[in-house]
Amino acid sequence: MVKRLLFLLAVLLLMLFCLLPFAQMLSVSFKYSWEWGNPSLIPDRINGEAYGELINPGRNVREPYPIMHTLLDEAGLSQGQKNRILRRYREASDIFPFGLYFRNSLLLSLLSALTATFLASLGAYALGRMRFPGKGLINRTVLMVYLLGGVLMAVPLYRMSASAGLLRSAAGTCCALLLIYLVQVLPVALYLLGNYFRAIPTTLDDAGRMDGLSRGGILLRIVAPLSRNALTTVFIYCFIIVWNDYLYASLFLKSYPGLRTLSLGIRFLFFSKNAVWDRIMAASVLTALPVILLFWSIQTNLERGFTEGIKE
Amino acid sequence: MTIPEREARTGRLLILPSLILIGLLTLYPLLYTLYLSFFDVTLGGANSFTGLDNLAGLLSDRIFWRSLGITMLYTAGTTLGTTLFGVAVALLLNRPFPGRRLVLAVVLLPYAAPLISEVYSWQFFFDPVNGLFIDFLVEKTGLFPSRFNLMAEAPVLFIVLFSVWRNFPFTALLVLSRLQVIDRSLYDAAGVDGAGPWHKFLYITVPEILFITSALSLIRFIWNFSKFDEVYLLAPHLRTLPVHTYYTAFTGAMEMGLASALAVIQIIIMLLYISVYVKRVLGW
Repeated sequence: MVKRLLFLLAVLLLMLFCLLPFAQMLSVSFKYSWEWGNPSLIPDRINGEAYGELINPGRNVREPYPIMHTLLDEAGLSQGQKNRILRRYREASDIFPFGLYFRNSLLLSLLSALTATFLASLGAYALGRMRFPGKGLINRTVLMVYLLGGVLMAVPLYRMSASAGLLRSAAGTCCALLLIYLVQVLPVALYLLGNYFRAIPTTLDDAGRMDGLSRGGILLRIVAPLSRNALTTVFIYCFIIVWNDYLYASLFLKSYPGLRTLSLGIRFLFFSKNAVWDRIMAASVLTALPVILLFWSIQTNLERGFTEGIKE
Repeated sequence: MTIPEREARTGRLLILPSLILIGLLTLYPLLYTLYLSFFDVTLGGANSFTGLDNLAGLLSDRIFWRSLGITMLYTAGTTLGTTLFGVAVALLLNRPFPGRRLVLAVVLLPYAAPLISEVYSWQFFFDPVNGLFIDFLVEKTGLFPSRFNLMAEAPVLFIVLFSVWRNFPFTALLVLSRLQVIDRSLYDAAGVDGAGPWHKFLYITVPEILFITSALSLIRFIWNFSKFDEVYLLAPHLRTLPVHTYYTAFTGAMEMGLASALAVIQIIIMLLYISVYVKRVLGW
């Protein structure tokens, strides 16, 4: 009985340890500013304004008050001057364009994860189910490359992209970033898919070849349908890695505000003159939510993919 | 062409696109870093060869040695903390109980959520004025006499704590799945021979999870030794080697040659650690 209670207490403490920062985030995102100093996690009064501002697309542009039009008319300015002033007012509005950043994050993550999963499924088929000289070396290289990353690669990659002239245009920057993300997730995709593919009996391939299928046909008709879960898992895992990136986005998208991702947007929001805790937290919640749901959906499969590979 | 030759050609063809990308955007950049580390790189693009000047400059720089010290402390703390806590949690959850799946899902949250969304809730949580943490320690329990700013006063502790919190689920999940496949009959047999729970743990559980735990701790060392984002976002004034590399390369005079030399030193340290670890601990 005592043992049971101790166990229960340990599990509760563990859950509290994991959840507290998220509870804090959720709580502040719903609090009015006068309540930030209140240490209770439950707000006295619920304030949904921060979410309203982030989700409602119509409020992403600050419209000038009617009185400003009147004042500008009375100031005797030309139409061009008036428009310039109004435009500057709208641009200075500093409202967090959540929809835009969400779209940017989504596109970058989708494209790089899709390409990585496709290329890795070809490569992993070769590494996991075929025999050829040099395979061991390739396997080890992929594993080493998977462990490398971060800022050590950032210096040469940035330098290379700059000297290739890619950073001079928005399109070029996007291309450079997409390629870098692709290579960031490709090794882990190869590694995981290799593990999943190895677990499928090779006799199926032999049977396919008897029936006259080529290697490509076997991959497409036999291995891929059997690995639908594995392919989804790898795609989602890659998607999450790219979605969560801060470093490369911050280096490459500095000078293109329109291309910013959510990670970068929240960072800028923190430093902007409108840095308000409820908005930062609401943006954090909305950035985390899709990724958490996705991660939960692949949890079991992901575990299998990693443990298949770590063998004595 | 014989069948094995055709097989080999098809195999290479399938892996080729991935290899080209990895070669072009990982292996080539590594060599390029090594190359740049011998040059004084200017923003305009004209590189002038300076030999080992960058390296010599670093080795005589106090900031470098300080960064190296902080990095060692951070990496040791996070590797040990993540591994020990991860294994402890795996052992705790390695039994059937109602709600186990839910607990596992909650435990994975810190690892699954985007870093950027955790950073600001941590800052708020430890905020000396508004945060729950200080309120609990000072007002609710009176463990500390006055409010303090953990982030400013003990930044290394703060980022180690964060890193353990964020990364232990990965270790816990994988160790747990190894625990689950241990052959039950081993325990039964040991029980018949009169082994108590402690001996069962020591002579069955530990050897079974030793390999995966050591492998995970090696991976954790490598990842945290080159960790940039967590440190930079939570304690921007604390210079670990990766953060120092970032500041050297991308702020101020953007000294990419010097930054490359820094990167090369870090890669060498990692390779040394890996080779010793793989031989001594993993026994390969």
